Amino acid sequence: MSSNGRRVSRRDFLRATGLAVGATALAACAPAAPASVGPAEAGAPAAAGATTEIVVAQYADVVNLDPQDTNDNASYGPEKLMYEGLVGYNAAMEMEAQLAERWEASDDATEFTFFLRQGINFHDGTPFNAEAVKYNFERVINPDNALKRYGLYNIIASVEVIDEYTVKFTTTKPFGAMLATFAHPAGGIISPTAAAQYSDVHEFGKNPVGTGPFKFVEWVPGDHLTVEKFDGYWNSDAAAQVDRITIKPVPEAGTRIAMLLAGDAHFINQVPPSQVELVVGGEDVALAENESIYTYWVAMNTQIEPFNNKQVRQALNHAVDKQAIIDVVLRGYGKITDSPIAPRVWGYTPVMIYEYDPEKAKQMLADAGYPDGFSTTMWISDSSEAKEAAIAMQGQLAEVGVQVEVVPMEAATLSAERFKPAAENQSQMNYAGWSPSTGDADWAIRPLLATESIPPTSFNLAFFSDPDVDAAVAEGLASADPEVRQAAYAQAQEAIMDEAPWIFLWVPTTLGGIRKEVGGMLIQGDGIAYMRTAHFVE
Amino acid sequence: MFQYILRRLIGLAPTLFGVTVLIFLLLKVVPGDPARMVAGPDATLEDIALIRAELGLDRPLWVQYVSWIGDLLRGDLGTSTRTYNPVSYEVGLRIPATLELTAISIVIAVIVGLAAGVIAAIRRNSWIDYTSMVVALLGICTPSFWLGLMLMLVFAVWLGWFPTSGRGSWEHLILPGITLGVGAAAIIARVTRSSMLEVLNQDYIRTASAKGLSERATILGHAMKNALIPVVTIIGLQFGYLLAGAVITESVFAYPGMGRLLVESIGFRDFPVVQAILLIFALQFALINLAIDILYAYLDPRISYESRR
Amino acid sequence: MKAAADMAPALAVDRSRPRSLWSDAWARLLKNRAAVFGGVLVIVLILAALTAPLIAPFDPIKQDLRSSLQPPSPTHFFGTDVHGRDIFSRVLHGAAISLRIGALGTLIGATIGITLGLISGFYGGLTDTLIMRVMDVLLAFPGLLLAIAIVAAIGPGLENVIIAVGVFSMPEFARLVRGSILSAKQQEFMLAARVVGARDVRLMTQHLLPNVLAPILVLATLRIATAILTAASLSFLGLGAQPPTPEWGAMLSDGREYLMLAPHVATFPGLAILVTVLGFNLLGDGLRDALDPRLRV
Repeated sequence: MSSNGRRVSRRDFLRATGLAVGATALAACAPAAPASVGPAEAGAPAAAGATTEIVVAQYADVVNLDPQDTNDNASYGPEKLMYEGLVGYNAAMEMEAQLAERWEASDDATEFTFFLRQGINFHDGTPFNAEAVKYNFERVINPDNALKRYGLYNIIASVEVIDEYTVKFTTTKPFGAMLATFAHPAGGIISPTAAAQYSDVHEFGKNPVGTGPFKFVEWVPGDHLTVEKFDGYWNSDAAAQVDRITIKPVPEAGTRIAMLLAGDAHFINQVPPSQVELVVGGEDVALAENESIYTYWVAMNTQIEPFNNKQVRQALNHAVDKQAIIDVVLRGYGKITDSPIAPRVWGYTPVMIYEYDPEKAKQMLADAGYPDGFSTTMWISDSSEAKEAAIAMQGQLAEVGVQVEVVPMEAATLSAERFKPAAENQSQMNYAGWSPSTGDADWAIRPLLATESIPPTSFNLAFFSDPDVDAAVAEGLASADPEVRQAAYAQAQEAIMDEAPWIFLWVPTTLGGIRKEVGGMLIQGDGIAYMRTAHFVE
Repeated sequence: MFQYILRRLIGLAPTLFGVTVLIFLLLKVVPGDPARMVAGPDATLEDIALIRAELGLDRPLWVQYVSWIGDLLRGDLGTSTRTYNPVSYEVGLRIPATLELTAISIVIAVIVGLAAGVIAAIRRNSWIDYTSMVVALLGICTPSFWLGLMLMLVFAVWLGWFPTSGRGSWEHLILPGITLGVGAAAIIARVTRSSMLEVLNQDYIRTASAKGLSERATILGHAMKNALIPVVTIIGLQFGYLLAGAVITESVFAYPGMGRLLVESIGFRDFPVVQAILLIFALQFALINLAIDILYAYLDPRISYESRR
Repeated sequence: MKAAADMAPALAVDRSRPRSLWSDAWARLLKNRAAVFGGVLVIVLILAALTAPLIAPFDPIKQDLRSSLQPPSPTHFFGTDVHGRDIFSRVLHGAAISLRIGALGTLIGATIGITLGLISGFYGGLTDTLIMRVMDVLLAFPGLLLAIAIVAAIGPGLENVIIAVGVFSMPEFARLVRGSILSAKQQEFMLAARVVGARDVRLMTQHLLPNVLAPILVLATLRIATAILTAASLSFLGLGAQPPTPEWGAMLSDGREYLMLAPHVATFPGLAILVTVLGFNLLGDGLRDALDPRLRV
């Protein structure tokens, strides 16, 4: 990195410091000749054997590199360089075949057979085959291992090796979302020989071995993670285009942007909307934007007054000016959601939008018996973005007479409060967002709005319990037929929109920053960095 | 004195024992479920139960405490619940980083602070005095997130003199060192000025100034030592604070220090790491304060640490 | 050196010359131009805090998302924040809360800290050991953890943030006072006073304290800034002033997101804190001089 030009074009710098230092003063004293650093200088593509290295700054450190023991996006991003699943999602969140060539599912969604690609080796030389797949999933569903993704896969009853390259899964009950569950980033296949050599199952997470285009070099917690090109990668079309990728944890957004502008990082994972203008339209840098599969919402506790009244819930949906908040807080990088789930989630159906209409909201509140509104509290996390959004809603709800006390809480405290059992749970309104990592409607609806998911079990912060929705969710799981499932989820989405357990807000855009001399990196819709096609451009 | 030091060192043991109990109890009072944090937001109750057992959090409180202390006495700090790395490894990575950064910022703070304080006192009520005061107050009021980012933009992004962030060469230390040192320098400068004024205003110093220069210098030197006591106290405290890590500065410069590790570990309820770090901090402060007490006795030999009665 | 009995200013009613002590100090304070300036600043701030509802041009919590992040202008002297609120009005309204947190928090921390430091330094031995070891532990404990514990234990109110800020600043005062006491109690006037048979409390408050007042005042005036900035980080954890209540520290933190694009958001609350600290600091310096026994010849 140190060989890279650290200087930055004058215009980028002015954008960065802008008003802070006084643009005119700087323009006067800055050198007249543009000090722009050409892309070529800042890390030319492998000129005759020189190693090429991409540096990425991401918002948090890696926690673990064992996909079966991971539940954070900061770890999944790097893992996706080293691992592949049987199936997986591409950058546009479309399912694609990875280590499996094709697959079959029984109609009742209990048996799933995968026909594997041949001639693939793990980084340590172990051949990839049906035995390896069997080892993987038996490892994760073994409760003694206490792996974090146990709950995701323990629907699997047995794994059967049919022949060397065919493997059959049987589930404990019909599970229509099984294919999507295999595509979950936790479904990355690990090398059985590498994993088996440790007596402590968690050791593997520090010494990862997969089949992906990059292999592990080192991880120094708090400092960096480095991977390098795997020469024995099976798919020459998708092989690594750079020699090394180094990922650094940089928690402060302003610092990530400074690194990008200075050329100390080629790609930064997450540009907050509040600072997006520093990256947009730069000479050397650009915004890497991508539509997310997140939806943001305010869950209302439907089991207590006044939120047990549907009219009240609908009224609040009319009282919030979502577009205004998107324009200001998200700087326009998002769109109003017209369904409880995002368009790129499989099974999405557009339903409707509650138009911003404070008069109507007031009228509905009066009709519901709250002509003078009421007082309530809204729990939020301690992030700036959550605070800004919540304050904006607080102001808008006050216009219709609803006095909201915004209560920010530190993450672990908030989680403890939110997951208290229903009887002692103090939730009234909760501002949150969710992305289904499986990319499937089931994981977008069931944990949030099914009766079975009411705290402490899962994240149903609306304490929403609706027989129609429960039935539709069950129907969606009972079949492997996409059409049947699609119809069931459409029904669920319509019922949810009408019942309005949430104030439906927006689907944000994922925002990364990238230098113009590189390409092939963005943040996927599920918030995970996609870096495997990273390359230098001429 | 030697006896005193020995006694204090022996006294560390019960202090640290008290600290362990306190830390342990406080962490249990703090809301938040470590198992839930490990399992993640989309975990099932089964996941959480498995992890709770894996982490040993399903055992009675006293059993957890005894097992922690037992491991501690054997030199085992435990395993991070976040990364499953040994705590000694996680902490061991950060200690040298924090020591380096502390060293440079305390040096900056002491040199700048003492110099500014002494000059301001000698040139009392001059423009130098007022300028140094305003600068010092700016130093205290400027949040490190602001100062750090501005230094980074000017000296790293624009001028390219230093790297933006991270750890590596000595160049990586300069900007965070200044960011951290400024606040400490400001406090040291103000306290030094005030202490110097005390000395300069002593009757006998003023008398001495009439009696010729060399005698005055001697007396001044003697009185100075005395007046340094608050300065030494403040420097010691600042040193301790710096060793305890500066989370904002470390975050701004993406510097892998103790402060960030501690805050992240608290956020994650990674108690083995938090416990180990707090124990280290308590030990650091105890040792620094012992060093300060010894310095007191050197600065003012009349000081004794015996009980009055 | 003057006998110590008549140098105890604020804390004791000195029987011999109560009036002259105060009037002397007062006269000296008024002669000190810097101190008067500091005093004026503090008074202006207090007046701003008291009259904010009358003089603020806008409602401090009234949002207008369409005029988000406007730079300073004749309409909005200090510009607007992300929610389109008038920062000038928010700074005025925030004065009441921030001054309270800064001054009261520091006062609480200083009072307890000074008391503990006095006792510790004066008695020495086991008392000293116990108090100072507790201070060591407090110093080592991260504010974040204490704040989380405080929210959990006693709730998120504004009084609690003042208590928290007080607890954070206590050990520093205690150590500072103790260090100076260790030295001061060895001086001749103390031995003299002891021979005369003065009681402990009297020795401490009337003889020792005045001798260590200078560094205390310096630390206290600086601590006000730290207190306001600490309150900001606590408000993020749900402790203290909550949105949309204007409070300088929180406003400054809000500006952190916009340091580069809209620097005025952080600048003006930052300047308000600076002016406050400057005022208290000048006043503190002046007070110190006015009360300095050695200057009263």
